[in-house]
Amino acid sequence: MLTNPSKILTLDSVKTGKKVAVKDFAIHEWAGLISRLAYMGILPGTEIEVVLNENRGPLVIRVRGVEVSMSRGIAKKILVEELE
Amino acid sequence: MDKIKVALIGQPNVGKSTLFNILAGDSVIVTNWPGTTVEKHEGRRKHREVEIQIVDLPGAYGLTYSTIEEKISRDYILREKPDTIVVIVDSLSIERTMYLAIEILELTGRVVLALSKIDRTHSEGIHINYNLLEKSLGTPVIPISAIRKYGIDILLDKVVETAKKSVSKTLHIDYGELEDYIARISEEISGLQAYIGVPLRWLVVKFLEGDQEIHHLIESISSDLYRKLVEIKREAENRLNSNLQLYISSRRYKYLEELTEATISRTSISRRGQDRLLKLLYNPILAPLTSLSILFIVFTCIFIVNTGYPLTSFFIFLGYDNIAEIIEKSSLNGLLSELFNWISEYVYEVIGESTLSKFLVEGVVGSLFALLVFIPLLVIVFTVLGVIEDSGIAPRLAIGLHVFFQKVGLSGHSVFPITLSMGCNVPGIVATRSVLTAIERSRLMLLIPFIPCQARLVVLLAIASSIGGVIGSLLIPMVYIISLLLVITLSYFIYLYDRRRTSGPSLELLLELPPLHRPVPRVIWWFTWFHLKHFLVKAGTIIITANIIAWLVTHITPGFVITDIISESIGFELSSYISPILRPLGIEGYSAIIISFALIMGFIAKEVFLTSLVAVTGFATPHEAIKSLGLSQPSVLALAIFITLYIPCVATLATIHSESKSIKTTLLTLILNIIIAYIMAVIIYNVTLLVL
Repeated sequence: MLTNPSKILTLDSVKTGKKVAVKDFAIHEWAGLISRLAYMGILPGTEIEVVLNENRGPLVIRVRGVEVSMSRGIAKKILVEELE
Repeated sequence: MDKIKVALIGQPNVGKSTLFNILAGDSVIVTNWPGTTVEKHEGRRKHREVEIQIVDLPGAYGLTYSTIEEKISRDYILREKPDTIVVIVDSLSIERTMYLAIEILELTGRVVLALSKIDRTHSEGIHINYNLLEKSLGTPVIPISAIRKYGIDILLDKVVETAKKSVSKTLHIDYGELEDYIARISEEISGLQAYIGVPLRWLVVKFLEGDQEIHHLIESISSDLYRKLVEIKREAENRLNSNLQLYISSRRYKYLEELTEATISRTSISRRGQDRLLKLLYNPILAPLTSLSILFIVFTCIFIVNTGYPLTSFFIFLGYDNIAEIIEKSSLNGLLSELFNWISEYVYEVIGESTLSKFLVEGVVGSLFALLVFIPLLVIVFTVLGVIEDSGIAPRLAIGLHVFFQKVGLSGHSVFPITLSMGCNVPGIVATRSVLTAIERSRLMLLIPFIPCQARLVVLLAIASSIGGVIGSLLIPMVYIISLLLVITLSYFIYLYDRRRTSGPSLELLLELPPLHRPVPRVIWWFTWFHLKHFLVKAGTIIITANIIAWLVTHITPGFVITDIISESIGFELSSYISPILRPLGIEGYSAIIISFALIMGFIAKEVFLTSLVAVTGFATPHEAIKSLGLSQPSVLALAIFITLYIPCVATLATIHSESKSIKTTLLTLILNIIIAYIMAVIIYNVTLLVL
């Protein structure tokens, strides 16, 4: 799965239609957010498909078969790696 | 007869409410979970000589102690120890929705899994091996379709069976590298477990997850022990070099992944139709346009059916007054007022016209009708709301509009309540339920009364035609623009104030979107009926009471004699004391008293402002009545603003109270409205005085 080691970006910059895998979270202050993400099934290693990303407004992603909308603020804190 | 206590639990959108309604039917009682504003739904069902008490726990993703819904669910399970817990899992997305089941199975073995929406798995190309699932989990797994009432009896059989089980085994998840630490902590607190009454392993894992409640509990029992445990936890964190909560959740998901790989197979099916619809809903330009068009068309239809407006105005504009009249008469409101006239004529014929019969007809029956008038409107609104929500379109529309609203501290979900409020504030307030956070909901409820509704438009029309000319035609657009600017500004300031008080992202969105599907009529019917019942009971009593009091106050003199002449009543007398406040608006003397009276009456419903003026001045039409008061143009403009903003009508206020369940919010709304309306009116008066 690790195609290009340096290709790590934040979720909010992933283009529509791309699939990525979660690497880590850059969340320090708001611990509650981590458990919320975990409950949505978003964890390191989880595969995410970006269904909609218009560079403004919330993103829509598909994770574990469920569509989830997520504001950019949160998406910025999720580090992902592109899958080929 | 045996009695057992059963709890229903499941993640949001899995179909829990549907199942609950099927199981409990008419026996449902709605109260509140103690100390919260979250609704508690309970019911009963008799199954083969066993009486089953069912509690519908709030939707939760897991069993942490962070959201109020999770706290309630967890507390209930731990304290009330239900005989059986039914965990509902959505068959269409088992890989995610079963996470909660796993957490619960780690806590107790008294569980039955209900796989919902089974009727749709086939068309989605999903095949589930129920037997293997059951064997692996050690728990009964029952496929059901609540809508088609399939599998319900078997489910209930298993529920009763599980309740009668004497021993229950919990699920054991392998936590890999944490197992050593789990063992060590288990040794330290083995005595504690009996004291707390939960499985030891569950307690330990929760401790490692950093669970607030468990940490406080242990610390309060023994701070030495607590410190020791925290040390071990820190060791584990260093060793694993990872947030423990994440690690533990990952292990659970790993178990779940392996489980679902073994038991579920999916064949791909064409989703082209759905994808095309999604593209439309998500397109940044088309989406807002689509939303607004849908909303616009829907509301226009609603109001045409209800009162004929705006279709009537359209025909009047074209000169076809008679057609407009026919439309109005056959609209729901028109029909209801015919019915009312019929009833009053009948009563007067039978009992004769006396004070008592007048009180019965105008006071009691009139008040009842004032409430009934809302029913058709609300039924239509709730049905549309239900369709948009159930089909899955609602949250997607909200996304498209989120960006615009976020700037003033609202989310995309507020578009529906706001648009609805432009027709009538009452359904608008009810619609705030679709907004996600309680904070935003309270904020919206404070703002909605400032949005001009249809009734206020009627009043403004009368005022505008009494002035006539250029100013008259500009009046309405001006008032609307001022009101909407006010709403936006207020929203922004309240947002800033809220942000200063609370920490953490308040408008961050992390929301699951239910899959798009054809809305199910029965579900929508339940939804509509449930909300209508709620409105009639809660808001209804207040509305009827207020109307009766208003009738009394306008038909009794200060000497407590019944009178037909309004200007002799207590109500009118009261207004003479209030009238001085209109002086800064340039309104004095007898006109001020009449207007104050009409304003007080306007509390009942904004149109009553006009009918009161007509009743007191004796003129036939509202705009003639207004003209007769001889107000200057600045005064009229100030008055127009004041009427639009000053107080929500009693129906709106009653709805705010029944929806917010908080007297504080209701009073705050009232006070805020009056103060801001007055300030704006005074400003407008002085500004127009200078300009004109």
